Amino acid sequence: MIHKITVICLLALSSSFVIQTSARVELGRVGTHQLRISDPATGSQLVSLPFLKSAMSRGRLDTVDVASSNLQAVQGAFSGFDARFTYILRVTDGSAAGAWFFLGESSATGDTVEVLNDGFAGKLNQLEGNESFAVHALYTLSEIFPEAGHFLPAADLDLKAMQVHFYDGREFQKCWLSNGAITEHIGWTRAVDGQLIYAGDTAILPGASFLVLDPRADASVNIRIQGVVLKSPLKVPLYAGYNFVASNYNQGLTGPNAFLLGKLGLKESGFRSSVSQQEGDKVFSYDAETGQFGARFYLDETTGEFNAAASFQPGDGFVVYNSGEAYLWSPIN
Amino acid sequence: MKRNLSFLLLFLYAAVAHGDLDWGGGVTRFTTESGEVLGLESGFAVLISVRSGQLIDFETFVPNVPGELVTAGTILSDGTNVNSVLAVSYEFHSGYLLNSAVPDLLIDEQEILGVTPDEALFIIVWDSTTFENDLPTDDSYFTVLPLYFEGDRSSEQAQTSGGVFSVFTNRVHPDQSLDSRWLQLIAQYGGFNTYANFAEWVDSIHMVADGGLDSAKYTDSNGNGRSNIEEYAFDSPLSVKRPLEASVEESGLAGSSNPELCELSVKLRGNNSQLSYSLHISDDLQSWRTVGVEYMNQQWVCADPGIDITESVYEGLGVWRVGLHVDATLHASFFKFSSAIN
Repeated sequence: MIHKITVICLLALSSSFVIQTSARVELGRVGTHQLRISDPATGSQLVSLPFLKSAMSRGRLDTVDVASSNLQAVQGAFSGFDARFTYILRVTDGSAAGAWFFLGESSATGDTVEVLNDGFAGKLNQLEGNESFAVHALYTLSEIFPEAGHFLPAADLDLKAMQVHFYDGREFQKCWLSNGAITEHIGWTRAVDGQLIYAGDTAILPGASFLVLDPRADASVNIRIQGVVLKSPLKVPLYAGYNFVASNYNQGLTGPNAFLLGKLGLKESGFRSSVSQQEGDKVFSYDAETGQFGARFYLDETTGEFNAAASFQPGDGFVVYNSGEAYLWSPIN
Repeated sequence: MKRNLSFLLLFLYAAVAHGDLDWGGGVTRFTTESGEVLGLESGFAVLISVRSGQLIDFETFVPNVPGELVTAGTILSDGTNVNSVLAVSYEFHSGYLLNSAVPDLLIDEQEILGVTPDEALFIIVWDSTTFENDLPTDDSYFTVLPLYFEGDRSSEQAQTSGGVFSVFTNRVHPDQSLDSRWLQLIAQYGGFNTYANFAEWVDSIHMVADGGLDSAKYTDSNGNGRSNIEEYAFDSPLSVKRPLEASVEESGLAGSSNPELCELSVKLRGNNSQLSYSLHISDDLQSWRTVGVEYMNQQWVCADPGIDITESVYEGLGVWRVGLHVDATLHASFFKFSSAIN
């Protein structure tokens, strides 16, 4: 049985409050989360990163050029990008709040930036051009899972090393922690075109869950992740087929029932109801003891509720099977 | 020759993903015939399943064309045995066929290949430096290993799934305990059909005149004191040893002063069905008891309950090193092997 210990430190930054004629403005919330990645008697864990890193810049969009997939914010919010990281732009208000976009090349002045893969977790043509936004660097594999070899096992080959498996919608892409014996580097490694390349800079997508495999039978490892508690939850794309997903901390997660499956916003976002487990959309939970996706849940067409109770905390992962068209899931608001 | 490549796409799209096979070489480090670790240019792996019957005896199997052995999607038939080549890979890195580097065999790909539930899984590892024109020949080196879930040999051999939902793939690879100690496996079946008859063998060392084959059997062409037919049937002389005593080696006849358990070692030819072998045991050199030693289904067997085959290691060119344990209850002190050629 996996025991995840969630420690939420929602640090209201009271010292940063600004008083303006008796109005109170909250500047932000941050938190930490303890994530169990190795547990005795289990071979793998399905986990996620429930936080984004703090924003590196903020601004308000001045121009949205859908044809050329460019955004403009004259305040120069798109500068200082580090080539080692993947950056996203998160829309923080308006009807598109929670949508996000991969960022590419920016102009020398930092005023404009290219948007990559428009439509992945938001659509440029649905922006009005005056939204406020925040730019975040995504966590990388090596940031979350240290490569120093102190508490995560590095080895000559994959099966003896710590592994992280990302599901790409069709199969798992497998990274493992090399000790440098058969690779030209020490650290996270994956195979590409017959070469074993460094993978420590692999970006971990928000809202995605992934498998962590520890080859040691008796290891107990927790890691601590920190980041910002968002006002508007990040949207998570749910494409046709299987999607490895998770919710993320946001200000809507309050109260004792916040983590119940029925409260996660799936049915409000487009999850299709059905009359049995054999058809329609489904949710699968992961059983770390067996290494299998055991329990499955469907949205009962008659009652409008899920057929059984389930709870998924931030940091947990689960699988959504989408039987129809792709849609964006907004994990509660 | 089909070669799979892997690439990383961290985007979600449509998929059917239950019953996938995450296959590879586990922790086994494979080498070439010459002892070099396999790499991208020298290793070639084939995932094969038994659709009906048994695993084909690839030592003797002759495909319609050599490419069938290394092409995914090929159905190989040998009598009632039907095997399917499911996937191939060259992802060898410093001798390891990394599970993480070999693309999973997805359920929809298995459906295209006509895979049925419960097909037993094996891996064939080729030394592709022994290929010609990128294809195996009769002289190419390879080894066959059964696959187990998570390499757990104590569990049932890995099989294809029945399509039960499982987004999580089934990881299969050879026995987890196989490691670099087993490097010699790569050469196990190499050149099995070489010298499958005496005429071929003797022709390689002795110029035989027309009609002179019979006389060549009893000629000592290389002058080592052993006849050609003896050398052909017995690659090396019989040897015997007992625990805590030095071994005694004699050609053809071995003895022990202590009529207790004995360990015999001999090199026999397994690729010529016209050869038959017998072990003769005695405690007085006068009366001899004869038991048959046969090559069956890729291993050597002896029907006598007092004699166990303790070692059966293929050494190439049709020759096996065979170890025999003679139980003390047989009260045998003297041993000899004989061979008859039909």
